Amino acid sequence: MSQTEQDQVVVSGAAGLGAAVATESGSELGDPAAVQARGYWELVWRRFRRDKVAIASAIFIVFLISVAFAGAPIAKHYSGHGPNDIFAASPEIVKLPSLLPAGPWTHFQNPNTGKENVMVLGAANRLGQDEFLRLLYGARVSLEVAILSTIGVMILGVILGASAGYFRGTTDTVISRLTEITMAFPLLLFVIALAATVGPRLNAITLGFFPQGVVTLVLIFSIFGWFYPARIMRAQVLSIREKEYVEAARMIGASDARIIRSHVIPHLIAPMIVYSTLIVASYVLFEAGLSFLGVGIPLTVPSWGNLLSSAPEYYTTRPLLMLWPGLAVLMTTLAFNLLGDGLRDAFDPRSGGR
Amino acid sequence: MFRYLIRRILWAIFLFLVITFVTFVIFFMAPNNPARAMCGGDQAGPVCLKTATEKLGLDKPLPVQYGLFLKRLVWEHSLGTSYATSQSINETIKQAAPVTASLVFGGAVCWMIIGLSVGIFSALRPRSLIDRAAMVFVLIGVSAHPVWIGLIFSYVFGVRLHITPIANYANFFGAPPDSGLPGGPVQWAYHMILPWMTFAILFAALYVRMIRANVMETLNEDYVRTARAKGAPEQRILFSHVLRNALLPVVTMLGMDIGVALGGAIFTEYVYQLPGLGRTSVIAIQAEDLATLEGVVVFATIAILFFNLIVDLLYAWIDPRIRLS
Repeated sequence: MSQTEQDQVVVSGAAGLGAAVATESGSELGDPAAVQARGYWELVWRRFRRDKVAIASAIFIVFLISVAFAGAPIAKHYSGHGPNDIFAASPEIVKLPSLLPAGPWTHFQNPNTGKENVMVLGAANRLGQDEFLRLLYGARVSLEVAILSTIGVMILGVILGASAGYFRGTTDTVISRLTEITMAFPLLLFVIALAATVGPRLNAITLGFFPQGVVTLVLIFSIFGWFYPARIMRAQVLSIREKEYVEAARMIGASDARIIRSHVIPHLIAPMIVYSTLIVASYVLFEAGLSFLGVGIPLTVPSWGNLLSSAPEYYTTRPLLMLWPGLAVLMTTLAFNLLGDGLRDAFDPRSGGR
Repeated sequence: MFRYLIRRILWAIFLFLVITFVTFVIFFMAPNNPARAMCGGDQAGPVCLKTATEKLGLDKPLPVQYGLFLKRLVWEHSLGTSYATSQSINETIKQAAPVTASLVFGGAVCWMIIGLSVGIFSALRPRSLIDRAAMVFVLIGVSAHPVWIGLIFSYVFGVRLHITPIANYANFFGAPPDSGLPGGPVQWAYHMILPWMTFAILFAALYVRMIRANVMETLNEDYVRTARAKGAPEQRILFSHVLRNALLPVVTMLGMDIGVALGGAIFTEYVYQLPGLGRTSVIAIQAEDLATLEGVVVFATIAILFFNLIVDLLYAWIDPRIRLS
């Protein structure tokens, strides 16, 4: 968001609200009937709406989700073959004797149906699987891992962090120590070791819907990722519980459950939304990294990390194979990062941002 | 100070016990049987399996096994032997650790140079062209995958432009004789330049953002205005008032991030085929050699705990408020 836009937002959000509203609604200044009271969410939305970059990112994310869940099957239908179909025997797709996969826009005879099909971005590997379809289906794996891990991490982190901050005392000590222990683990090495030892057992769990390996990664990420949101939430709750309105609620005899429900949680929603958006991006990167090392999603399942890990084999001959999955990851993380920045500015215009 | 020191050391020892125990349990739960790996996988004969099981102590209950593991680690300073190659794990780590160390420390120097110069400059000239370029760099740096950056770098600079080597490591102190490998400081730096850059980009982006924010915040402090009001030269304000205060948190971050970076080195090592700790552990996973993997995890844990302890003590020494609280 540029500075001028931000200044406008700050002005309309604070002192000049009445004036801005009056100008916009076209009525005369000082007409009390034209001044409306605006709720918190409406103000946030009005600030967010002016952030073009954040809006574009949000639209891109919606587009990405629809591509992953609706677009991929449609593309599969129109191309006449699936993302896991193997065309190693077709000479147009896997060139003999070098076993070089075909380049972009290759027409070939599908041996299963006898019709002529096309591979938009060429073949992904020496099995002759379609790179374009695997990219689309990979989006689904990446988004599922990232979004579900974020949900898991946030649930654990918010519950543990908020109760540490609210109840203090022994609860706080135990949870804070647990946080310190988790933080001292060599996280990446440990996750890799865990995925390699426990992973093969858990990979079979698909709950009837998820591709293989998604549930494993979500579990591992949630167990080792909760400490960061927990620290943030603890700090937030520690400051909220000292506020006058909490004191007032306690004075009139409100129970802990009621105070948490109506005085603490509403203040946690903004940091939760902002933080979740930002960590979705980091889990997209994490999944791709683990799959690249061969300990994430099983190689048979299309995922961006798997596409990236098979690309260096054709390093000098098909360098574009390296580009596509990397670009997909970059666009996705960039969109989530920009959306997160935009949301933070919308929720808290004083946060500055840029 | 002394009491603080004792407290931190005791906590580090406790953490060490917890982490090694959890590591041990996870490897104990692993589906593959180490005795099988030792006897050559699927062709393992029953006699060999039995002796290997006894030799590795796998027939004893879990707490006893953990006790033996700990005893061997503390008294004999030994991480055991590899299941796959029967090589001493200490030896493996002794060869791999310098590679990872030169990657991590060289990378840290790179990211600090970029972070400090770009971060301070864009804080002093906010919304200038350089500041905007720096913010674009930050966004791409935190969004692009380190593996991908590594692949693109080695393709562009190595394969296309032939400026740098794309793989392998050159020993700083000279290669072993008759190996035909490159060695010496110049070759070392030449082989490490791409890995350093790849490794540094993510952290450089994070540090540019942090240093910029810290410096901008400090520039608005009252004591900076006071210094200006009494007529101190701008250079003196920058160095003795702004940077001294703005960079204090950066010191702590650096100490903590070097620990984190030890793990992140895996990707860079894997892309550039550097024989460091990360690549060793990935190869160990592929060979189902859990003893080596466990050795690397334990070693990395000790290294991280040690770093964090030093940073804590340094910081307590710099800032007295910490040790008193």
